[in-house]
Amino acid sequence: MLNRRQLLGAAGAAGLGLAASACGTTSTTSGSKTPAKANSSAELKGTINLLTPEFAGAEGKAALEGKVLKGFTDKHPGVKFQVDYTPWDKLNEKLSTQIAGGSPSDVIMFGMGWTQPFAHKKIVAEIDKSAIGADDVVPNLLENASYNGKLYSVPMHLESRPFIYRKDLLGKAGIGEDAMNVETVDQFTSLLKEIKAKTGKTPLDMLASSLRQAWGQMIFAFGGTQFAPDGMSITFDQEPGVKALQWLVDLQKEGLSDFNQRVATGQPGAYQTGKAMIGWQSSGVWPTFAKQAPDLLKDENLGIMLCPGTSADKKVIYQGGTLAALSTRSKNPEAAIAVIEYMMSDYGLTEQVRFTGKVPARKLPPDPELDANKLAAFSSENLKYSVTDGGTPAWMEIRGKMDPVMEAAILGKKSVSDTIAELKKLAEDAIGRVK
Amino acid sequence: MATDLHIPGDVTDDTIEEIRPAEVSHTVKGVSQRKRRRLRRTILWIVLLIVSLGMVLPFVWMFFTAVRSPAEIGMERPPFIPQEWHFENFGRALRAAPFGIYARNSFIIGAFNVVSTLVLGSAAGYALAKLRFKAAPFIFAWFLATMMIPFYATVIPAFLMVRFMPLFGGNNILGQGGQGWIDSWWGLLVPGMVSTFSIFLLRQFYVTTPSELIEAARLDGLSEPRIWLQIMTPLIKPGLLTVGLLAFEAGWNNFLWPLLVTSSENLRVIQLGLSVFRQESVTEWELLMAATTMAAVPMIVLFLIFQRYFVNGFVNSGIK
Amino acid sequence: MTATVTAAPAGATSPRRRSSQRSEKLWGWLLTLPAFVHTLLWVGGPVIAAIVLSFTDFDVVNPPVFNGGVNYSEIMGDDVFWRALWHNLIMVAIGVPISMFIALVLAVALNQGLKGQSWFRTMIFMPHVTATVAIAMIWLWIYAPNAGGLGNVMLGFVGITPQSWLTNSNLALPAVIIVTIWQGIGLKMLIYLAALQGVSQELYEAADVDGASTIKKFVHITVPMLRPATFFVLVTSIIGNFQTFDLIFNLTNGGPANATTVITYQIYVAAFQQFRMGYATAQSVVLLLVLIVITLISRKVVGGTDGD
Repeated sequence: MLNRRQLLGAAGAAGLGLAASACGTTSTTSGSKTPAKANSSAELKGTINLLTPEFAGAEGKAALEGKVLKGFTDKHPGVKFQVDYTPWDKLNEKLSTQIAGGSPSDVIMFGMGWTQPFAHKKIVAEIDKSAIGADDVVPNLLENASYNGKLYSVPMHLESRPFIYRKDLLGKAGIGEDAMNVETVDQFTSLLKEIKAKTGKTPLDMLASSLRQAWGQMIFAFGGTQFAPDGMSITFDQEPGVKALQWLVDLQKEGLSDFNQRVATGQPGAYQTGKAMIGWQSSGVWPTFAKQAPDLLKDENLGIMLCPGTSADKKVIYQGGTLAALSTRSKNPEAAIAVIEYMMSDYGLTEQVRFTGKVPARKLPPDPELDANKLAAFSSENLKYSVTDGGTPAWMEIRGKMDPVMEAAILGKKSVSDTIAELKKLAEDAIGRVK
Repeated sequence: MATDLHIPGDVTDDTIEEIRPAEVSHTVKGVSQRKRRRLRRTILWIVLLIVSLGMVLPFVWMFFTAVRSPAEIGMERPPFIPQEWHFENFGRALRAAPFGIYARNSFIIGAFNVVSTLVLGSAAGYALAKLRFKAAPFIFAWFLATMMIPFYATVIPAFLMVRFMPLFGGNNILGQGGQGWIDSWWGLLVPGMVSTFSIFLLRQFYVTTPSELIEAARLDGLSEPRIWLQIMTPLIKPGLLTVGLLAFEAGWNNFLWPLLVTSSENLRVIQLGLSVFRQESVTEWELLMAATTMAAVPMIVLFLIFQRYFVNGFVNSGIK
Repeated sequence: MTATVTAAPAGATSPRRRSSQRSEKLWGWLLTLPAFVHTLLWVGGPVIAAIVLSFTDFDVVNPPVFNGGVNYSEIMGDDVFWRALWHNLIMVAIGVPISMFIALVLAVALNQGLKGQSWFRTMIFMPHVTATVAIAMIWLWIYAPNAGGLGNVMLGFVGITPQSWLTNSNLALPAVIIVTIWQGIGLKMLIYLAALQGVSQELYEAADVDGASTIKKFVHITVPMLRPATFFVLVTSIIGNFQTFDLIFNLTNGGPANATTVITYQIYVAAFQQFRMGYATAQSVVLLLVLIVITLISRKVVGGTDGD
């Protein structure tokens, strides 16, 4: 093979090159210390690079560039856009290479839970709350977009996960509309058991979803949190976290929900095919149902509810979503923040969600087309109950590793306490590394 | 000396059977033996048919999914054969993204890959297989080793090389100031010009060619490049075809690298176009499968055309 | 034919001979150089950078910080990594021999001039011409847990109840292996088919004269003559199997409970989900070492070719 001197020589050269490039990139960091805020009187110009996992395809491009951004360039003709459409499942790779290369896009759109890690690593810049009309956004969501009390991203469109249920099937089983009015988790569990007893079927389609997200929601439903407010220590090992995991494990054990019903996105799952009467479904599933099984969406068949909590006033609803952030390396931060602000305007946000079909992160003027998605409309009404998982700067390191550990628990290969212990070690190691 | 490509019949023509030399030699043997042979060939044919159908079954499913109605896709147990045939799904899929541009780009990448791989790969493969120089085994081992590191471990350094390519895309001599080969054909084409896989494969083909031919050509006073190009390379035409086909296919199906080094739609490739149908919580299966079918068809046709050059015996007829 | 032809011819030290040797050496370098320089730059550079990075803590954002062997000692205690390696070994040990054997038999069968062989060849090669992401998408339907999934329909024919292929920790890895075999046969068949064109027809004719049976001819002529191709197929299949990523990423995400995770998936998670490039490259270096050992072993087994 290679002789050793050759190898070392080449390695040295490669190492130097890499270090040089890394140094070269850090020096371009924008020096501004004040939170980014649009200056309406300034004349904006230059090219804005926008990285988005949404709006792919001809229709998406027409919505984003033909409407949302067009509205902006009508006002600021000096600004040009270069939009980079990168699918969700390759967004990490795209961002990492961009960042390593020292030239991330000016405006980056990413998912819930990414804010704190990126803010901690100084990839995204602080944004002034007034810039985006933050008063209109519910505190829960702002918290998810903040790090150490400062805002680093702007929630734009969300995917909510309400519980939905089949009124028709439940009615046939003798379970009426008022029986679904459960106030607490315990009542919900009893209800599931009752449905199972009456129908003999697995009533809930929930464990087929991401277990990490399911647990994330249930921790809050049991009155707890996942991480301390500063994100530097875990709280999920406290009673609510343990109870939440136990609740999920029991769902599988008692046949109330089945992990084995997992299907790929867009494939008919247990709820859609009528095997389960209650589903924990993303609001984004609406267009799929509308095409594949429109009957499910009829008023007489579809019920929507929040996830009950420990008491009647502590209901929750899980939110995933898309946020926009401003790169610290942007050479044109003034224009970039103006773009984000514009995307949050009534017009900008309406046109965005009209295409994505998601839940706008703040209340918009009524629009019959948007309200047609009843799952989104329901979530929009209940944004104040929003919860989401994550909230630590080490989240990127933790979240991908959580699902396998939790799957072992659901499959009965690992006890709840062992699972919590393993998750705790995982999270604490990761947090230790970002400190 | 060079071999003629002797292609009996076209793709769909099955008369190959008639002209095989081995077949001819059998005619002198007894009738019962011939009958037994025919029976054996029939059984073999049936087995091959079953295997081939098994291999192709998932694609049949793909095609059926491509023409299904959404309602059928949403069924617990859809009929294997669609009840309604929605051929308009293909048109809808095509209109969902600028597939013309994507296909053009993928084609250019594939075609460039073929040329660069065949030129660089056959030169290196020949030298490693047939020319005696001390470094050869070490270089070969090096080529092998480079195949063993996964793409994900090297993608960041490779990306940085593209990004900081000196004197390109506004970069100065130290690679600073501009964007290098990012969002350019350079970044799409150059890093993948030749794969060590192809070099290795071509080397293995050259290894099986008779070295006596090289010695004889040297005695005749032929130069080394002429021996490589005119004597030895024609002997491995099936190998060149194989490598060329695989190089094109690799270029056509490439996805992640083109995504990382480009940002504008004009340089995006066909596989990326397919992701349009897979959004965060929506997968439009019928359109995804329609587009996947259309992306696969050119490759299938290409293979159907080129596989006919794998006809037994012509190498030998060339060197006799 | 394979091992002997490349051996240096005996004697010959005349002046003409020596100048010919010099030009051979020169052209050996010249012809190898373009490809060598290219791979040195575009693969070698990044590989060496990866090896250097494996001794650092590198989060992509900040410059790498040298941390000695910390990444490697972490790998030692990383159960999931070793499980992933184990899964790779199982996939190789089961998938590679099966698909190689099927491919070889099919290649020989499809080299007989049978009617319709163009179509057979194309049908068998089809899985290879399709991008792996698309392959995974198709198999998501075959392995759908519903009674309507193609896999479950097949099971129904033999009276077995529907299975949840991809969430059952006993079935998921076999399910993945089935796909890798199905997907891998085409390429191997193609290489064998191309290599078969170089096998002298005279050998078969001579064997026919001796009255050798089909099986004898296969064992004593075809198999030995295809040794360079077999070496290639074996080595590249093993390496390729260890690089399986797109299939896992799109089909199972390594689940359930890590039952189908493989090394490249772990490397991906470390590098691009966790932004731990140093740890990811250290895993890659371990993979490299494992593959070097396996390649050396397989060279011994197949006999390799001269000069390897």
